[in-house]
Amino acid sequence: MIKKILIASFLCAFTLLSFAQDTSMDSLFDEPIEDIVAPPVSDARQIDHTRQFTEAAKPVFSGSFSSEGGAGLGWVDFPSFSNPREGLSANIGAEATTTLKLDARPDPAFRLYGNTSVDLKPSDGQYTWSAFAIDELFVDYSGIPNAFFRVGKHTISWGQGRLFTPGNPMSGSEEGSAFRASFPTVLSGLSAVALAQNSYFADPASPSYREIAFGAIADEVLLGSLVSTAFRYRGAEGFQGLFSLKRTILSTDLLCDIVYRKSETSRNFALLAGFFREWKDFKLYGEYQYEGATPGGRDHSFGLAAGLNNVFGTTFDVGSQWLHTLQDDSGSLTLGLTWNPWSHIKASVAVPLTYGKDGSRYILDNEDPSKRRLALILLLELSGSF
Amino acid sequence: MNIFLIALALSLASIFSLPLQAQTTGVKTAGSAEAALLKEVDALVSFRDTDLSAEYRIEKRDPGGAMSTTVAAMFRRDRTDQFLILILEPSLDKGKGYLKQGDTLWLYDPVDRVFTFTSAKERFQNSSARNSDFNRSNYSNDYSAVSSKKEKLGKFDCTVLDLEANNDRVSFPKVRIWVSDDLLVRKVEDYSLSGQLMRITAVPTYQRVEDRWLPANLVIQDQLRAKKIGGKMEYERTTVSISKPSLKALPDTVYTKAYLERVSK
Repeated sequence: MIKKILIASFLCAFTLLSFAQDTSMDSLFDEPIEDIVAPPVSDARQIDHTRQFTEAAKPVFSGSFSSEGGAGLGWVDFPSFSNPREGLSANIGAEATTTLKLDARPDPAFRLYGNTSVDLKPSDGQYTWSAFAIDELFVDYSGIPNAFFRVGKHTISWGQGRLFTPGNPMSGSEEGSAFRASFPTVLSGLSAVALAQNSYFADPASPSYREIAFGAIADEVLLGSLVSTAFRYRGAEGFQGLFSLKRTILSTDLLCDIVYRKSETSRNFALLAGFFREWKDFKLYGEYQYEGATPGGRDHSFGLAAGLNNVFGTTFDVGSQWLHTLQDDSGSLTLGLTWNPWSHIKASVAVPLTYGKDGSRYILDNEDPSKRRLALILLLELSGSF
Repeated sequence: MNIFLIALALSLASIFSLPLQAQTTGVKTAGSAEAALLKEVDALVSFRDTDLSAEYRIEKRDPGGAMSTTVAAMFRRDRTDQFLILILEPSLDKGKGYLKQGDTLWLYDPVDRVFTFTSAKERFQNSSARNSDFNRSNYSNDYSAVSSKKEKLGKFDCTVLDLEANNDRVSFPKVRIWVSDDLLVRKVEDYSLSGQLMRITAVPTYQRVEDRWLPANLVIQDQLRAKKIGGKMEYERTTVSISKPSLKALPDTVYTKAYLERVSK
């Protein structure tokens, strides 16, 4: 016990001394604490550091609150110099979200996790909190050696895309329930999944196994490259296969997803290629996608995102994202700036630009509530976690 | 914070697998004696026949005073070049983790439930980590000693070895290490090819675990991150305190992605 107190005192003192920069690093060796020789500990008394992660005497509750308010000003169509007020639109909006989480780990082999949320959207005419929505609720079981099982409602994400996600066969998994069996020591991980959603079944009261989606994924690292193969099959959808490759060359992460789809009525493929590179405070990310499911074979899309933290040593972060498709030459470009003026408060300024002909992809997918093509958005967010 | 954390953790694994060779006197061209010394020291700080786990407290102080603290549990398996870092504090980050297998690194985002895979060694240059931190450091294979000399480092009598890289897997082509007479590395200076000092690591105190040694604390000073405060140059300094070492055998599944998913939020 005395030894523990001495060690603790030493660690505190050492920390204080080590930050003193009026002396060189070599001064740490002038009067160092003697090397510590602890008595041998039997195997049975060795500390198990894993238990604090896999076991808890009581369920752990946590959550978060986030509220956001802002104003937007812009044009629903590009203005003309002769009449700049034509098509000008302004609005204000606000919304809030509260999440509550439960994490129960009564023993290392069993875990129950749940995540629920409510929201408030005055800008959509919703002035009271919504009903609780269960975002995730699942059970983990790891009582069988070298196997891990998860069952319930949870998100499963395969593939590597972040701007475009053609290679995620499990897209939409959060809308249903899934059973997943993982064998982590096989290759670099092997998993099999069975996924069900209400919309899968002609008669939910009498489900058929043919209506369930089945999938599997295997990862392996070969010669420094990550190689993944996956598939998904459901009778009504057909077969979808995924091959992923990722490697680092010259400090740049390079990734590629190849997706093959086959159903009773069609056969096509999609390709995703991308890169990621970061420097001190600057990150650059790019993707290219070819979507063969779109008739005409011209659905090539590009995306480029960049972020710079602490601009000129300040607390401001800036970012940009550009998306473009050759299918109809539409796209979007967003420039943004964020900073934290006070604790729990984040301020953002964004300038989104959406271009293309009426009815083009990005014009139709424009998330601006007023469908403005060019706008200035100011946002203020209050958030906290517990 | 998290990238910085894993960088430091990896640097600990790399620094303390140093094979060194005993020197006699004066500055002299290094030879087989230095190589043998490197191997000897490597054996003292490697845990090839068992798992090693411990609690790491990492306190980073930026020039000018901003300070951040992270506490993490580290699990190492040197014989397979794997380790796992799990965050304990701050509490909001508890359960976030990083898994290293050979030259590859998995980072798990529990919010999106997505794994990021990378072997971009240079990526962690934004923290105190360098390329060599991602390789399980093995000085006897990655470096050649070009000179050695005797030098006093505080109260320690040390053998100072100048090492030059044999390959391009390491981030620092030149390294200078101080090895005390008890064959423990006390100080490491990392240099660029042009000879610029990039980073200094000091290990004044070790702790004995069975018949091997583990740093009790170390200080890493980033020479590239400095600011003049009150007429004095202040560098970014990180203090790492390692406590509660354990040699408890761990199941193979600890060093897997599925384990990261299990323990995350």
